[in-house]
Amino acid sequence: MWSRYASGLVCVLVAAFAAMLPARAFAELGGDLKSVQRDRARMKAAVTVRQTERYAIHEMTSGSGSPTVREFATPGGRVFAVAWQGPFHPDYKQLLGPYFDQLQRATEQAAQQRRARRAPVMIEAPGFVFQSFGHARSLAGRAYISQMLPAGVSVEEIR
Amino acid sequence: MKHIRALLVIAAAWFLFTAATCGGGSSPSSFLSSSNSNRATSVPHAVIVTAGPGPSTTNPYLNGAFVDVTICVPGSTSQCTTVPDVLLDTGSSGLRVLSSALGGLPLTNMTSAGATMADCVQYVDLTYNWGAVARADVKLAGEVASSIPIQIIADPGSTFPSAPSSCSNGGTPANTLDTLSANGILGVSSYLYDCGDACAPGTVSNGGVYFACSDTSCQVTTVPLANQLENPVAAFPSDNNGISITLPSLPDAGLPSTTGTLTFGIGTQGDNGLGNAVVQTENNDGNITTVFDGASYSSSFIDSGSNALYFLDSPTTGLPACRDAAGFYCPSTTQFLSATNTGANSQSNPVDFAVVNVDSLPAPNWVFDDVAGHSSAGPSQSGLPSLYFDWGLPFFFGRTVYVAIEGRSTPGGTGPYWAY
Repeated sequence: MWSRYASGLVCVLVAAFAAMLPARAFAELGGDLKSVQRDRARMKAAVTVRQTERYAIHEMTSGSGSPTVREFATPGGRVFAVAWQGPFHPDYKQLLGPYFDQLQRATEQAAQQRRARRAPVMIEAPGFVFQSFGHARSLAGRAYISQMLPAGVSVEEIR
Repeated sequence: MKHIRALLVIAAAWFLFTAATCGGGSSPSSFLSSSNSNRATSVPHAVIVTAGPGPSTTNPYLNGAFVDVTICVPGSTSQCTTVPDVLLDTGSSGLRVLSSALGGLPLTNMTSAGATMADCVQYVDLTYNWGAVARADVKLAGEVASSIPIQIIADPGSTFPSAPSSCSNGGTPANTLDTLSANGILGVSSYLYDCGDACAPGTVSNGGVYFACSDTSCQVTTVPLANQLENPVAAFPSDNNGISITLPSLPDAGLPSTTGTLTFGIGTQGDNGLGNAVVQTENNDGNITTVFDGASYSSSFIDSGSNALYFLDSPTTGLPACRDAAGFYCPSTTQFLSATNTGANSQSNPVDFAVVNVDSLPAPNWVFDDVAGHSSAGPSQSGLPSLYFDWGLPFFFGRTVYVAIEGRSTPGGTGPYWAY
């Protein structure tokens, strides 16, 4: 499944074990990749980069059951989408950057009129889409900036 | 009054259970006597489940299943309180109780390296429970889980530090009666612990699950399995390999409420065997496969805490979304559908189900076997992990559903599995 997107050019594995800091730092949605470079030095995480024709996937795994986070970056180095999978939610403030406030506002609004319980979440704010699905100890999701999706890239590839 | 009635119902149910399994020839007094040689090791192992709106009148739980749980100071038989209306949840592990529902029971918070230990669980819908962890004896029917860690969900007015941002994480708190819509959650999934190895020492980071708190702030910490929230059933001395939940069939229009049974142990007593239930083992992610309309969805699961059947999306199913009830399906006429569930062990079961218009549910009713919503949304995204079946509480009506705990042996094999 992932190899489907690895039909591209390069596959680089960079495992950085420089520091014992918790692996909470990711490049944020909408941000540039400089922070990914910085993270590599600080995180006790493995970063796999796969280049496809339209974007690059930076996959970060911290091991031992922590969520795997995949960041999708344009050729220009902007993170236009993130996907995650693991036993608990990733740190959304870190991951969503400026879009975190939209998530917070949307969940607060939804709580006012909640009838669905323990149900998947779909948030469609202007320009920003967030999905959370799965169940306890097996959670997954994605978020992306609609207008930054490169031409020809479908949402289904963000996983 | 309500409690007295509940106790009478439980007593009557236990009487019937026991009478059915002991040949019926004994006198009632022998059921209460410890000298009953036929079932010398048997203790009452079933409690009443009430399906209904739960205890919050301002924010009722559509399709909730609730039980009463007795909580005691470890080792004490007098310092106890019975908490009613605790959500019965096969989708999580561990007991969580609102601080305000404990009636001042003097439980001692656990510590981690000298700091108060706290737990945060954030669910798929981004609601979270936050609070201290304390050891308590947890009693259900005649079963006792002795001195297990439980979560004391923090009263927002208490002096306990508020949830750190890595716990709230963009979600909303479910730390009060009216946001949780229950007095607590009884997590009886197939997992032994609420977090497991991902939060134990040796991991890089446990995200925001366990914390060590000073008086003013909390830091993420790791916690050994022995100190994590444990599935209370796994901690019973016997009948500890799983549970079964039996709920009656419902009329198409639903009911205001109904009652059923939560039974402890699988094949450990004369009355809790698998019968002809089909065992479906879980894959490594705790999932089974549902085949619907010729397509296969391998991230499907069963969860009594989900209040509807959440599956696929409108483009895939042709079921329109509701105008009012966000996340639900609203077909103009009730749709009758079928699917097939298959475990990792290739054992299959057909499942027939119905989908009603959630925007026009009859007002006085709170339990339905035919409310459904989507697991995904937006453009059709065939093959995505967001396309799955979450078989929520509607699935449980008209069935006995078994949940076997990971690593525990049963007559149907070793858990984790579901059977029905």
